[in-house]
Amino acid sequence: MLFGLVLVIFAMLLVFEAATYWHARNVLDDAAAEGARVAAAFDGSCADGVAAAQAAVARTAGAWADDVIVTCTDGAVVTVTVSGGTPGVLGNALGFRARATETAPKEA
Amino acid sequence: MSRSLRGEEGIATPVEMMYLLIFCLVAVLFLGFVGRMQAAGVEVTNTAQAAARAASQAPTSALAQRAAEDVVATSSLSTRCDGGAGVRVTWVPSTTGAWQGGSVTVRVSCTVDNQSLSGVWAPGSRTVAMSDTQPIDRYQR
Repeated sequence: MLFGLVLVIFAMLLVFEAATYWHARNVLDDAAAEGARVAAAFDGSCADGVAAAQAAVARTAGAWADDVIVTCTDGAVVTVTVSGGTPGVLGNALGFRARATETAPKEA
Repeated sequence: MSRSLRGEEGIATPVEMMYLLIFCLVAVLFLGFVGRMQAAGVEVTNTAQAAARAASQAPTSALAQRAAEDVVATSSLSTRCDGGAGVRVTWVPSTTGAWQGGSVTVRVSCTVDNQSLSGVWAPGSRTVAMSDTQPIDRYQR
């Protein structure tokens, strides 16, 4: 009986975790897109893109987004990747992270 | 707690727990399906925006079509969509009838299997399509 109860609670936490994961991924995806747009602008750079992505995460998810890592690759196509923890209960405990990548062509 | 609230076998019987467990697992699958569909929509939207931006900087409408296609080809949609992503470029000329000063709209469509969205076997597919409009640079040559 106790084992079943623990299993049900774990399953319900899994549902909660799935919802928070997709929310986190959407927030990070938007931040990555914002960073890619800024970095790909004619007078933009990867440093600007990383700053814009970090600002976007802080603006929309400052309460829960911790240990956010933003990477940017310059070139003909600018790639910005944002990864960070999720607001769930299990995810952070297990070290699970959401990750999103966006690209934009560099303006010439 | 009174007997009527607890029931004959306690707060919840193992069978009721099993129903709840199955419901939770189905809910996780459904959330995964909706989440992946939402993520696909966001990705198509961002690609359409980047493609429209690239098209708006092209000197002619023919080159705009190629610029938009190049953007979609270099995005992750080219590998994730069944048969590649579709691109349609339309533009509205300026008041003088010229390309410069008008606006260009890029519509990107992506067809994905329901099976890849849900993570389990599911028949059929669905198409996610988004468009974005950008003003064409008046001084672009």
